[in-house]
Amino acid sequence: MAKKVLTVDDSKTMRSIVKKQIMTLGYDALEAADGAEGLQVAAAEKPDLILLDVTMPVMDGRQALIKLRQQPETAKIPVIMVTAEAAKATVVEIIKAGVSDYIVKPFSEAALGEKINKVLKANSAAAEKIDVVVVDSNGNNFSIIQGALQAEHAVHLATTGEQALDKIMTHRPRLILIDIGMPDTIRLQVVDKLKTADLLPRCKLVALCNKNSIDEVGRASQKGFTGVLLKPFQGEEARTLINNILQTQTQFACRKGDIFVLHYPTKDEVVLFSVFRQLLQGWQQWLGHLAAGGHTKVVIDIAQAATIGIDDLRFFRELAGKASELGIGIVFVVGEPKSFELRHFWESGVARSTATLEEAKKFFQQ
Amino acid sequence: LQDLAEVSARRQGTEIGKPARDSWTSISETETTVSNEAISKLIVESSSLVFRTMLSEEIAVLKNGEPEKIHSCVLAMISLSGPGGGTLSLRCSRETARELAAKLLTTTPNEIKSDADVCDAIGEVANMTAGNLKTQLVAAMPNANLQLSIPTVVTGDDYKVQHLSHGGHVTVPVNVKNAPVVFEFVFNN
Repeated sequence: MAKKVLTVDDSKTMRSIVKKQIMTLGYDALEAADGAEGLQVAAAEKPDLILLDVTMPVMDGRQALIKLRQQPETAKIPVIMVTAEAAKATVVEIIKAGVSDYIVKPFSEAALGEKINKVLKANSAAAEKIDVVVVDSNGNNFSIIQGALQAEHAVHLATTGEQALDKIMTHRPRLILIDIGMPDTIRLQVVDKLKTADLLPRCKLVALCNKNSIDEVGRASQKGFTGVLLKPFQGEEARTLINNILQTQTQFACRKGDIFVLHYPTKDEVVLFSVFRQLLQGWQQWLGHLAAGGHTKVVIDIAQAATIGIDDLRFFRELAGKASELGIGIVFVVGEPKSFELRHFWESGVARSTATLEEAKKFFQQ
Repeated sequence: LQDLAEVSARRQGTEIGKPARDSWTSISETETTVSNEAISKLIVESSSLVFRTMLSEEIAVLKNGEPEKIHSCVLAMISLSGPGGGTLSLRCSRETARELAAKLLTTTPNEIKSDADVCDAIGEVANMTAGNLKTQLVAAMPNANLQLSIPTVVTGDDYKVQHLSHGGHVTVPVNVKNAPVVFEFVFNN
């Protein structure tokens, strides 16, 4: 039986465009003209996916999403939010509301099709229950994570290093969350075990860090974690971030040889913004950590960044200056500069910029 | 930081430290303003994106000002409420509106039976253009709290729209498929 996709939009034109694409992809298309009607259709038809417009009369997309999540029969239906605006605040609000993805109008048929397939595929995979191991001596964190993820994933707790290794071999997890406050030897044992069991390529590591500890976030950024979950957190926040990490290949910080690379989050990784900003806001401590760790070569990749404003560029310049004082070289990878500000940043030479990561590496080799 | 400020000011057509002439209300704590020239540019960028992505059409800005009066037209309006906001409108002839609607719906003009479908399509084009415009304005003025309204579409013959706002306005006439489409942004008071 074909999967059912419901489009909720007050514009008949948009419903027509979206329905056509849904049917082209081989799915059954359902439609509703506002949030209230969308709730009725969702409850009656139990679609596999809902495309929900944000701005609508009667009941808008935000209100409809809250109601969908409150009704047990529709609570777990994945939602792609459709919006005419991509302002950062709007996108962050949408992500936090607990949607699987969002798409900004105007969009091509191919982009819409890709989003629909991606979410439906991710949801099918979730139905198989991904195993997640939480390595944490604090039961409170585990309870919240388990509560948030249990509908989609099987969550297992390990309070010691020994238990962690046992859970890894038993469940072969796709994701491991490790409290950064636990001894570093546990992280090293976990990584070793993943390597020997040939699980490392498919398993992602996420650090649990205190929100107010720049030190912890800074350490996590240097230890090869794929992402960071900041404590204290709400269940929905954890669910969104973890699902995002499971779907993305990006590592927000990594080492390539002797070069430390930070990736500015792309528009698909908005949930990583808070982590990245926190890391950079505590840049003095962060640079101190790098210097103490012997890192003298840093690349900040902003080529795929969702948004770079004048404030960011001002900050980057300040960061580069301070790093230089500490003997740390920073190169910014800006790709093909898209915005006026970025072009100016590139051309002005206020900080070293290259088009690609390879060029940045070559610069350090010189 | 002076050169970054200069870049920002140049982009906005202003001098550093001085509000833009004919610009809209100062919004952010840093006295960011957007000039008429800048808003015209943003409208062209936003509408180009919409026409290119959704209709596979390129727009050409009419350099010699507004085209001759459009006697029988479709007009779609959408407001960006909030300090520093305004109203974006799009108007074109009924024939052009029908052609654009057909293109959007990947059909032929004759197959669109209802005028309501034409209005809905033109309203959606205005909505997407305004959405993109809002995104760019908020990026330029982080403190601007602009809210998009639901589009209103009007059709009629030989009517005149009179703006009660004293905030000034910007008109951006463009050609799409050799037919004029006029965007207008009326600043709030």
